[in-house]
Amino acid sequence: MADLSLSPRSALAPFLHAGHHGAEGKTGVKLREVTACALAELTAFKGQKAALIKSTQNAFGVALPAANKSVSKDGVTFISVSPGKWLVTGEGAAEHDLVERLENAAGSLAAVVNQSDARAVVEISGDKARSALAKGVMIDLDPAAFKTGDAATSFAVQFWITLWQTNDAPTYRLAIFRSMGRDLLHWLESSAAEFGYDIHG
Amino acid sequence: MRIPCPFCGPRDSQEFSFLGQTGLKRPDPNAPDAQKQFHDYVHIRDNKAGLTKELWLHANGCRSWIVVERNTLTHEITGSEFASPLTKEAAQ
Repeated sequence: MADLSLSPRSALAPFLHAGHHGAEGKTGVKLREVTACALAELTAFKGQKAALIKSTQNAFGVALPAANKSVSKDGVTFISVSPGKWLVTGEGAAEHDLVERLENAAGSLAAVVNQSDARAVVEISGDKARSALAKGVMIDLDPAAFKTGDAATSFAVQFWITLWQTNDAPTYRLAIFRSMGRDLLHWLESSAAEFGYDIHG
Repeated sequence: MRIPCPFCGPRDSQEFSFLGQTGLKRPDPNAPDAQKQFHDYVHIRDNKAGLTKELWLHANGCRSWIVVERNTLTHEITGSEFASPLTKEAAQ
């Protein structure tokens, strides 16, 4: 039989041109696609949420986050996206076994849907990252309202996004439908141009 | 206008889509006056001036159906809750 194993393919690589862009002499924003990142959605079945929280706590060592929050441990990040539903990302060793580990933890308590080929993750950081995002993201990103560990499913320039903040640099991550990646990137680049931005391949 | 989503908190109304008045019950298609009942079910609305309860979908957010209590005279929103008890349970 032919070898049918598939290798992951970047959603944004053809559109990301590494180097400095926008305003000369300053770098307010850094942009990159988070590659080597597995994605899955975890949805608790009716009445099973409490049991699922216990089970994932045992398997991953963290409690599933409440509304508008994210938590990370050992390369696995859980992001609350809707009632009883979490987007999960896995990097490093977790890139390869994320779905299997989630399925084992979920058992008959939750549905696990692999999203690795459906979504792309973009990382935007730097001291002007907040200003660049604020031009299109409809939620308040001021540190008083949105901090490291906070998350939101919202709307940015016509795109449904999942956004979370990973550190105080600040660094944000955006999960988007990968077929819309080029258009979202186009907006992000236009938005970041006045601050000067670097793209890391 | 901002709508308070019971899960996400206050969000811009552009994130939501509007369905309409709550409490509509699909009539029995076998009733003798089914045609009139369906006409009213599809077309007739209270169009109240004052407090209303409306169904909104947080489509570009957590994708929950919510019931929003809104005053059509002042646009003041005085409350919101999950439309489904199952969603409410999953949100806790």
